Amino acid sequence: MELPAFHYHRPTTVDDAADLLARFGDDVDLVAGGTDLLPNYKNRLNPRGHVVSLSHVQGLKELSASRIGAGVRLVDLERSDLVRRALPVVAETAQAISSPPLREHGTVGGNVMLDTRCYFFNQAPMWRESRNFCLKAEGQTCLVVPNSDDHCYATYSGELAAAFLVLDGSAELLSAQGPRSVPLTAFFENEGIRRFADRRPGELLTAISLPDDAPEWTAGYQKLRIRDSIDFPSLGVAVAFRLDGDRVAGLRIATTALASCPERLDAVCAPFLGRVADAALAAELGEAAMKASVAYRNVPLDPKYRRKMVAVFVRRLLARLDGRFAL
Amino acid sequence: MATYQDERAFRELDAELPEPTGDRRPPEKDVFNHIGHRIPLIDARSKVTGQAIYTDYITLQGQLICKIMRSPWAYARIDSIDTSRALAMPGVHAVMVGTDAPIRFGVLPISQDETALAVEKIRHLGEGIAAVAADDEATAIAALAAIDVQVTELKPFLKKSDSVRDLREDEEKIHDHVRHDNNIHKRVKQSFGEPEQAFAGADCVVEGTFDFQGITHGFTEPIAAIAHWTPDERLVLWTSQQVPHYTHLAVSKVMELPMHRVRVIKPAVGGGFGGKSDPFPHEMVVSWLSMQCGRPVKILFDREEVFFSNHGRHPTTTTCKLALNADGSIQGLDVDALIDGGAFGSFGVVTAYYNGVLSHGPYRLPSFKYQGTRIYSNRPVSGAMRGHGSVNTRMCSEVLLDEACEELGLDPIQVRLQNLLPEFTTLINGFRITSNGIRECIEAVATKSDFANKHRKLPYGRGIGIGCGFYISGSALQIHKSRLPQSTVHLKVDMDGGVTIHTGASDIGQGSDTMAAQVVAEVLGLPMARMRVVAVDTDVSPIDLGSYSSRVTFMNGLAAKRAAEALRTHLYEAAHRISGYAVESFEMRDGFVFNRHWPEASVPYMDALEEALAGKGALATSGCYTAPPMGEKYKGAGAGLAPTYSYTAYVCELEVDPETGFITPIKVWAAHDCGRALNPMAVEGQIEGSIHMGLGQVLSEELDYLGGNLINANLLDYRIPTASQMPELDVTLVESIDPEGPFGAKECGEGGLAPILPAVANALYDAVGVRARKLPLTPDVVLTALEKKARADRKSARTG
Ligand SMILES: Cc1cc2nc3c(=O)[nH]c(=O)nc-3n(C[C@H](O)[C@H](O)[C@H](O)COP(=O)(O)OP(=O)(O)OC[C@H]3O[C@@H](n4cnc5c(N)ncnc54)[C@H](O)[C@@H]3O)c2cc1C
Repeated sequence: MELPAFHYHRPTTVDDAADLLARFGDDVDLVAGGTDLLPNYKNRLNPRGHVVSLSHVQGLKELSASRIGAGVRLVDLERSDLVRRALPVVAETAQAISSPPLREHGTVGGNVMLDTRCYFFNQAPMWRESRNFCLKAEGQTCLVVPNSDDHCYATYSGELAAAFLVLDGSAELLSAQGPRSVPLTAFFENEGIRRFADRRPGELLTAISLPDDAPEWTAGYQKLRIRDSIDFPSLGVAVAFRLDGDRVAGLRIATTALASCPERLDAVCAPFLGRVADAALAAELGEAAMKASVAYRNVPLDPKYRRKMVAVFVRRLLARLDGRFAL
Repeated sequence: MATYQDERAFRELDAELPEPTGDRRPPEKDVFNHIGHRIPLIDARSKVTGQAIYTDYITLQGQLICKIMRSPWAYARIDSIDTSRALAMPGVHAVMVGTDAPIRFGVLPISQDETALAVEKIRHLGEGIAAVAADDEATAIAALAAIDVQVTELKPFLKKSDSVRDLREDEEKIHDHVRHDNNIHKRVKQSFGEPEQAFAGADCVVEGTFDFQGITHGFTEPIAAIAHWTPDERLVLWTSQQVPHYTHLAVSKVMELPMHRVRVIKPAVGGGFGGKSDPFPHEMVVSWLSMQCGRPVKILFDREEVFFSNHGRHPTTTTCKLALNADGSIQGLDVDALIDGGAFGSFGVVTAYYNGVLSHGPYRLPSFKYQGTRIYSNRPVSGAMRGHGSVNTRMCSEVLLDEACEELGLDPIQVRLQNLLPEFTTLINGFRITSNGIRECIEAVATKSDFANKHRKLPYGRGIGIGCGFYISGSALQIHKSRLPQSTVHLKVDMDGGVTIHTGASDIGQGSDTMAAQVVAEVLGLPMARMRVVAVDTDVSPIDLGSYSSRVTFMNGLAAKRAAEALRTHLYEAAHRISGYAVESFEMRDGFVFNRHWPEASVPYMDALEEALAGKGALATSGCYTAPPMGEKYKGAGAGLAPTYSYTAYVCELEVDPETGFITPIKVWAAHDCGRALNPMAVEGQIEGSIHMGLGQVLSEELDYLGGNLINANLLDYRIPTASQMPELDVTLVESIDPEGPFGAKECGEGGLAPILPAVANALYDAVGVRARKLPLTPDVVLTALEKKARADRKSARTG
């Protein structure tokens, strides 16, 4: 099937891109690598009349330990010595995404801003018509949780956001009104259509910024999927911690592919601060993270199973990252 | 129904029928120039350089694009279709609805139940309702949106149990031709030996009900076709097909054109696996549209359409019982399979038989009982898929055999060896067994995998298991009863010295063109470079029934060999005329008509050819194959009868993560008896591909339905294993040299699929102690089974 018709714009500066977004308002989409947007367009999922490409925009490819440009490709992250050394969790997460050919095209910006996914949404038009469409495209009700009161339960499946969340990153945004920085913990909203709590109209993501202490955290990512290539996550868990002696001085967990946005489980982690790093902690923490997680039946693998894996993954990640969590 | 109690009866039966032709181990020369050599497929270069011409790459002057409107309803009665708005749109040339070409067709003469587009009733989601031919795709899509269809929805049949029971008041059966007040398409009942007594008297009876989801082929090239109603009023159809001959028959029937006015051409095909082995509705649609417009009309399916067209392996629930005595001897097998055929017949009647009869090997079954029930439902059609009919039942019987060995404390390898069929025997149902290398297969994989030192001895989480298989090498009976050969090859040689091989065999990627070239080159002692294959253009190719039932190498190979032998005779005679030496003294070797006794009297091929052509013109010869009479006479006796059978044994070693339920296959040792490996590289490729495909069914593939909707009608969510999922493979080719096959060859494309499923399932048990009853074994399914086992273990520990 061919793409639907749209006007294609190819700005070369961020300001021009922001102007185009301002100009076309609700009738425009950004495209970076296109690995998510184009398949969705082929399925006629909310296509717009204008598409603004970021491929030729200068200044989006910055790559340092404190700033990762939105235009950086996933393959650049996994291959960068700097990232592997200073931010291994970012390289590890990038490497878990989709498959090598897609990572040649997919970008950081596209991954963080990835649209939510759902069995009832990512389907051909004929299929969606057979179910009278869903809330997220052309329909009136959510088919995952009927009577959801206009709440969409589509699942956020971007993965880098989990890594950036445990490193306490922020979204660097730009619109015709100027730049802004929003902590990722405040950026997303757990609703499959709105998706963002704090993104203003016409804003594009220029970079993810990370605090100076990001390289000091020990962090890792684990992904759940049936095949170890191509598949989107059915769950992604990132953890980061700092130890003071053998006690936990800092602790963050983020999950993705459970809710309609990536979530940082700060309330789960708080009671564990100051405790001795050991296997018992890892197990308890895993259980607590699982209890705080909710999943719906709209992406591969049984939701109960996906929740159970939260506990296993948290425990295993800690043990892998520091042997003391295995003792 | 035949019931034989002793071996004598088989022998009497044997006596009436012709012995296998040729010697049991024919003293064929075993030094070959091409046979047995690792030869790259002759179309490999064109494929890897992107130059092979697939159907969609063909663009004809003035061609229109066809799109089919597909039903969003699983089951509905059509009240009205208004196409007037679509027809009025600029760029739209024709619109078609079901009543425009209402003649029914189907691959089997007994199941002519499909139409080009839905007539009166829609029977599954995704079925075609209307079609347009327009200037381009966008116009065609817009036109579809302008077609107004009014329907009355009917209560769909989506559960197997609903299709077998009698209809309720508010229900309407899917097909009127179904005899009773239900949706049972075909029921097969068979009994051989004394199964009741065997089960009552056996020391050990194991039983299980297994649940198999539907799976689909996942071929790379989407379905495509172009039809052209030419100015001389003939219909030319280019189509991605495994069975162009059946398409030829069906198009001629539906379009009401004599066969000679229909020409079917098969371009390069990007995989089939059984998914392109029916005449298809879209072939009728583009034919009709082209006849309307007088212009070529092309269709290329979207991937969703390929999924909704399906024809994949039937979703099946199988209850299986196996009886053994304490000494390990198998006493009987009882299979009851409930098979969901979806909306139409396709190959389903055959499937209903195959789910039973293909269990007759590789072990001797003194008694056998089978009930197969194929139902209609409001799902996309199920049909033939690699390993057709054998795979699911094979999984059941091989897993139960493992369970029985466990219960009796016997070694699963020994028990298998002890029950094997011998070579050259007849089975209780009348199957004729000839070459049989199963013993060597089992011994090879057991030794190479060090099975004895690993089985039940590996640490928790690591396991090893075995599975064996048996498959037809060509169906002896024809689908359409006929006295015509099952396969024919013509050869033509002119003064350029190249050999043109006209074959109707459908190369769908499996390599049948290369096979024919190798066979002819071998017989003629010529290099491969002189061979050129002109395959499947019904105007010039002789008929071959198609690429299904693993018949091509055996049947088309023999036809090619016979045609080449006939050609060779002409060259011998020419050499005789040139040299004066007797015809018997010649053989074809290295570009010479070679004189075995007086090498200096050999005649160069080109000289002999000139002599042969003098006063005569191009040499043209023909060879064909018709299966000899075989088998029994009872109803259904022909199902599963084959001129020979292939045999397979696999061992799989794997790891299971008990906390996540993930299964990671580590290594598979495979041994397959393919008669003679005409091209070991191609055979290994088939075995590796079969393992890959079977791993998909056992680990991750399923057609996941939500009501009538297929949730995963795309290649992302329908999870075919990727390269990184593949374990290390060790393939052994066992060459039993079949007495009848071409140079001793038999099939290798399908039989190698089934055994990987039980090999994995049995290794899963060895690793963590849970038995597979439901496929695919995704990690959540395995973890649930592990948790259930843990609860049961705790309970039995508590109760003592
Ligand atoms: C088969 C397949 C498998 C996949 N598997 C995975 C997977 O395992 N994990 C995973 O995370 N993803 C997966 N993806 C999705 C996708 O490939 C990646 O997430 C990729 O990183 C997206 O980047 P992109 O540049 O191609 O995004 P695009 O498709 O260009 O854009 C994606 C979305 O982000 C928006 N966007 C892009 N850039 C910006 C920006 N700078 N500012 C604001 N909005 C922006 C676009 O408007 C669009 O809505 C898969 C895709 C496919 C087709």
